[in-house]
Amino acid sequence: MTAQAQLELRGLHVRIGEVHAVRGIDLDVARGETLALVGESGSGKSMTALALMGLLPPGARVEAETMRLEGGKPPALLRGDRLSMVFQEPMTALNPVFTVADQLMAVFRRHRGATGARDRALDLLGRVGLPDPQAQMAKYPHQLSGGQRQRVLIAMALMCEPDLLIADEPTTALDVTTQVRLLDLLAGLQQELGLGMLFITHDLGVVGRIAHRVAVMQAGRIVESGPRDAVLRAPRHAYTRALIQSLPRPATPAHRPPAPPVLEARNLTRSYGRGVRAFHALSDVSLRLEQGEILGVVGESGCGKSTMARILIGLDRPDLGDVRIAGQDATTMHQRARARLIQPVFQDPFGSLNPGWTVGQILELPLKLHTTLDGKARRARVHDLLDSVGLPERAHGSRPRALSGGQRQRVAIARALAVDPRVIVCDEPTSALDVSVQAQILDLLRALRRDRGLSLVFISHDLAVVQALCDRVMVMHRGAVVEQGQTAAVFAAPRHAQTRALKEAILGVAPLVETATMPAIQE
Amino acid sequence: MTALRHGGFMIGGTVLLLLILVAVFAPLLAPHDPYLQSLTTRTKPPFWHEGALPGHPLGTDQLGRDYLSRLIYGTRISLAVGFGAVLISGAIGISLGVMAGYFGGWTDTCINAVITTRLSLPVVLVALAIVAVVGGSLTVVLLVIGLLLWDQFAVVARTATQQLRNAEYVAAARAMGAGRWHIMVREILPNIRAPLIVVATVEMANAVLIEAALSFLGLGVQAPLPSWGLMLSEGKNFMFFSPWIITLPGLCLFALALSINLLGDGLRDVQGSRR
Amino acid sequence: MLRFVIRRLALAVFVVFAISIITFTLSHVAVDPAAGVAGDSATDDDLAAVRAQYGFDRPLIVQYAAYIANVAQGDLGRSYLSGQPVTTLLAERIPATALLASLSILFALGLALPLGVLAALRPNSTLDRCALTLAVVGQAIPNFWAGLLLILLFGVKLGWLPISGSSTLAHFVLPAITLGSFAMPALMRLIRAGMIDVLETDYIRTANAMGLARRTVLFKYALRNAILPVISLTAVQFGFMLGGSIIVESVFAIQGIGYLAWQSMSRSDMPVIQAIVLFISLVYIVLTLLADLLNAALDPRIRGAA
Repeated sequence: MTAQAQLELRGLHVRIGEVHAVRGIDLDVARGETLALVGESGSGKSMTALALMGLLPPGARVEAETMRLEGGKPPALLRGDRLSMVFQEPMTALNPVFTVADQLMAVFRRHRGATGARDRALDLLGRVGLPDPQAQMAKYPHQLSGGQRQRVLIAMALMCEPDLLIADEPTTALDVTTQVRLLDLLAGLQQELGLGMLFITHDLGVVGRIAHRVAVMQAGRIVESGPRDAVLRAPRHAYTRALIQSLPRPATPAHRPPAPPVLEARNLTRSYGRGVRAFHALSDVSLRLEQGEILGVVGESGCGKSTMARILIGLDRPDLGDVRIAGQDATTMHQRARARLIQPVFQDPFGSLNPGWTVGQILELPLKLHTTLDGKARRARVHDLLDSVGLPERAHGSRPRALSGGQRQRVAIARALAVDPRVIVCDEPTSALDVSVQAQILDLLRALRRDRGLSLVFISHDLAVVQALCDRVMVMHRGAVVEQGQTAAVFAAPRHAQTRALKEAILGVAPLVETATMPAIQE
Repeated sequence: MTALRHGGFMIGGTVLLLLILVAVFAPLLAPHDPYLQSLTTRTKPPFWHEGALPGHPLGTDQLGRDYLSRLIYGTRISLAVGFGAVLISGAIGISLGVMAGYFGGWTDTCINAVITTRLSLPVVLVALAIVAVVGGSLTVVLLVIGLLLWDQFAVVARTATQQLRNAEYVAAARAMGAGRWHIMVREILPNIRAPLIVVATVEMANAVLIEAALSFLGLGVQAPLPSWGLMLSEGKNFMFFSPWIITLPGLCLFALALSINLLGDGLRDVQGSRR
Repeated sequence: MLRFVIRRLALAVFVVFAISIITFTLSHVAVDPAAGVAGDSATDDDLAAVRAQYGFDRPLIVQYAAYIANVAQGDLGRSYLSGQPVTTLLAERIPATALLASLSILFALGLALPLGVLAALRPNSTLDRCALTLAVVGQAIPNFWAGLLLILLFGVKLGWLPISGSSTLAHFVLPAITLGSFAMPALMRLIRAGMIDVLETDYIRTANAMGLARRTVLFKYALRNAILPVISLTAVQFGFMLGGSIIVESVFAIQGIGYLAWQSMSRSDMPVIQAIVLFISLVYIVLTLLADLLNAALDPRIRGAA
């Protein structure tokens, strides 16, 4: 621990209404050091940051024995100046009616005066890796991508040479390759400027990449802290151990005997718009899924994986190409018939269930549409379905509002199973879940494949998950398939540049974690 | 915040409920026949003035009819127009809005053009013109207002449906093979109920006030019906000497419109805090 | 931006034609135009003669085409009552209504803007509750009744202001307050809701996180965003006021087009009525078109830069 702490925090409590969100935590961040504050949703990590910045809503009560920056002042008064923050969602964090220049220079003018504002802004835009800073100055936020906006926001945070930078999940909303570039950027800037950085994240992979020290938060308390390598290699607290254990680890490739194809798509092509401005979502994409196989589809946003998913499920029609499911030509199939063969599980557990319906009603709908069972028989089936996804029977009377993210996703899976389909297409089903919940859902999917002979198409941007779950993987880029093969083989020796870029963007902790102390993945 | 705790909601709801009860039980509550004229007891003041008559607590109008009874029966007219017009306009507007929002494309463009046309028309003027042509009566007024006030229903239903059209649960229902009507009626409609109920309260208050305005201008409900607006128009000539003749019906209109608005605002607040 | 403008114009043109069909229907189909021209005591022969003379016996499409052609040249027909050209009648009355509507919207905005902003800054405070109460009262009060009460109070009891006619500016004070109170609630709520929404956005959080002065955040950053929908609503409310002027003008005997409309309606003077409806609709269409274009100009996202 370095001699002079940049930030000293002792005994922080935050209460909002009835909720005691932060229960007495201590933190130190030293100059030139990154402290990662790790926790799942609801742990209080963001509240801590907002409390330091003085940005909590008016009804919040904050107390701390000590809360100060080097020099003795409380940090909230110095925001923008010696202490600044970068938030998670860059798409909405910039004022849409002002240019980049206006917004950057306003910060400098506020704390340092008007002279030199423009030069500083240009300098920082260059340092955060934006090409042609002069041109960027005149742009409006909607003309920039998410990654570019986040770079602008980092520049804004650095305008007044702060001593401490707080980053609250700044890369979670971005593509994996962008994420890794931004993380490296932040680490580099920290070195250059001697910043202290408090980095909040739920992702242990991020911790592995850039943190010097780690503090683990659970339910408002810090349960463990220390140097990064020590905490990750030899976690002392049960919660830290559980977090590390939930991390997806590459599966040992099991030998599968070749099976007949249950899903075949050939030469799928789909474009939107006309003429010069047409967007080619899919160009000549073909796919083959064998019975009992889990096929991973990876790629960055805009690569066409969601478009392909919609075509396979039947929510969209391809301009060219055809789809065969279980040997039948599905291209012109009526949706009712198709639904019995292939079903989706979507990403957002909050959005994929109708908020006004009960779980029982949600699960009965497919039975009403596709079977001739009477009410009693349907309810019995609903009971079976809830059982098969590990939910208690009484869940059938609950509304989605009352369930957790993981529970809702189980309901979504149960709904997909209700018609006994041959194929389930999962579009980022665990991306919105905490890592421990994600592990449970992945286990559930494996069990369903084993017990019911299900075949899965698993779309994800998270390569660690794909490595852990999928037998084969297909890499997509700009609407085309650039590489595919057995998962282990593709990741061991990637051939296409995109695959390599994706692989490098995996923030694995495997090198840091003693695999010997963890039990092997059950198959 | 629950509905029962919200001050505005409770006040508005209670007053509205009272007015509905008054309308329903009017024959039992009114001391006299509202149409009964009497030359000898014309323009008597209410009980707080001197010269008031014991049998007429709120005085009489220029034709000797008991004011209290006319005010009581007036609730029936205002509430009938309020509920009736909202039912008609709601049915039209919500159907148009949901279809425009769900189908998009040309359906949306066409319906949007219709909505914009309706919005560009000065409602009161057109209503007056139609009544001038067809002749005024309670039925005509109710129908005309109902057929003209559907725009906000359509606009709100359309926007809300557009937002939900891409919801994942709608996609899941489509993937399940559910038909279009199922999706619009059972998946989307229940979830846009909240803002539409608020629109319904606003339009109901509007309908009440428009009927009063039409009747005030002589082109609405016709005499001798005890429409509050008509009573204001009839009493206008006497207002300098007998101000109660215009204060009382106006107060009734105000109370009804206010209670409906408070109810609607309360609903909006309660819904907002629940989400 | 260009595509936006074109589509918006196309919609406006379509609506103008649709309205013209409606007004044409009112004046030529809903009533017998021959009866209007000939008068109440016309005989069947008179009616037939009038039909032939004015061309009311031609197919409707032809009549409609003639109608459009006339309107385009500024000929809005002649009043059944006075025989005067409707255009002349309108021209005489428009200034009074224009003045009334302008004063009313100024009154409404003058109250709504400051109240709305202040209420948004302190939600659920006493000021906020007062503002909301004022809004709900303004919305619920029947404006002809309010007009009558204002006449009683300020005109008769206190004698401060004139209550009838439109000769001086003072004559417009009470009517402007009456008509303005009709638009004020909607504007105030929109400003309040808009400010509250904007104050909760991520970009305002960014501005606060960067330590910008409260005044800057409010007036430069927040208001600039919140004001955009207010422009459209102001145009809409102005249009509503033109339509609602009939009530206020008849209560206060202001010689505007609203009063003219009422007089014409009691006597089924259809040419005048349909011209007024057409005129008010056109003003509304033009105003909302201008408001949308202004909105697009002020919002860089719609302006559609590269």
